[in-house]
Amino acid sequence: MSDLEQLAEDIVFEHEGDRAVALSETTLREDFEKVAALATVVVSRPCSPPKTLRTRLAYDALRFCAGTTETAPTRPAVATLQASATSSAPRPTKSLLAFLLGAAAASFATWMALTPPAEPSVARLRAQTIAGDKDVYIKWQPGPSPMSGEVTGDVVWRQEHQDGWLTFRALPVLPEDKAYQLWIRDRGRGGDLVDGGVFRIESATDETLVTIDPALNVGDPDAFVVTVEDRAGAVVSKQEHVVAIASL
Amino acid sequence: MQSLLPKIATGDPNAVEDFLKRHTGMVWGLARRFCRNAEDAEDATQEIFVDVWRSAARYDANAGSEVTFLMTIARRRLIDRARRLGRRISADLLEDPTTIPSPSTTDEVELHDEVARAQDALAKLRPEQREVLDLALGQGQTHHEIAASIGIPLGTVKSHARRGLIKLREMLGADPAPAEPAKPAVDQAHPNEGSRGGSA
Repeated sequence: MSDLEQLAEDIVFEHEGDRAVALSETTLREDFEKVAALATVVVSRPCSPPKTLRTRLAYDALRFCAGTTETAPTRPAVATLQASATSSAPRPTKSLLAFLLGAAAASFATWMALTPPAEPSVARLRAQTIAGDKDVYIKWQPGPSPMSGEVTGDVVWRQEHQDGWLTFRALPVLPEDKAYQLWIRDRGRGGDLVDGGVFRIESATDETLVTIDPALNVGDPDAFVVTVEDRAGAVVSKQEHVVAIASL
Repeated sequence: MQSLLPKIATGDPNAVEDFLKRHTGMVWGLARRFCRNAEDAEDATQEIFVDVWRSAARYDANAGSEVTFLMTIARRRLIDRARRLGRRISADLLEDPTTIPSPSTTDEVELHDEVARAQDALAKLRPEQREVLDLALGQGQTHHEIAASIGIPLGTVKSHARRGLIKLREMLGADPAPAEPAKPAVDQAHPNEGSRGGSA
């Protein structure tokens, strides 16, 4: 058997655990690998992926688009969160999947109230929190939904007080029958998504300040996600319209 | 079809979303056949797409289509997993609801000129070569499994595989393989692998 034949055979059966492709001229090998890849496309039998997989892929995609697979959070967060922040897209917890699949354990009782914009006390608290080193401060990244616009802003979360604020600019004003909804992923609950409540944006041009006031205790948040839902909010999000994500 | 990979390299969420819609079914179908169970296949599919996001900036449209780039990564990942985790057990595939065909994805794939050419080239192979490549590349079967399933000697399976791939490479425009003397289909180097013969 010639080297060429051996190489071809090795590439076809390379998935057999005990077979190694012999060292060969790189171009030749790449050529065969490309042909094998093309043949694989032709003979492939596409299947409908399960919802769990779609969720995992969407989560990775969000992290990639948010730049968190390559870059550190804009600002240091709680030490424990920093310690577990990874540089690669992790497998989402089963709880996150459950949320996205319709089995979120989070309470829907928590609602967020729109507060008057830029109250001095809130502004001062936000500034103090951002300047501190014990809490969470993350900038929003647009989600994959076309509704995300050019959203900017940030999340400020005070772990000890169990509250915080969201700011948004350029988040589109939704139709009357729609609303935004915040979800907080809590590693302290094994990765459960806690419903952060629903809110509306009245102006896409002005900065909107939203107060986070969850009814459930959030032990160890590591991601904040905003979706578009029906006006009353959703117990279960289909994750069809993720407009913003802030992830550690 | 314009590749989405350059936009993906910039972190464009719409491009990422479209890419997933375009290709998830194909990658999942392949992973499901190469992996031991659905959970393992999900892990593999996730690894593949994460690799694609990170590698998107290296994509060169002159070197091949988007789907070829994707499938090269997919094959590499699946091969690495097979070596790391061992071989699959896929006897339950036919009854597995996660392997429901997704014809719409096939339509998308067929839009690539490069894939269309490969499809034509594959159709021109001898039926037995095509069958072996299908089972090995598309189903992840070993040469032992193929030999058992279609009832030909191991050496013949390997012969069909290598000659089929070499022929494909020639038809797809790569440098033709150097001429070689005619030889029996069964490798003399593997006399213990069967001798019922078979032509290439």
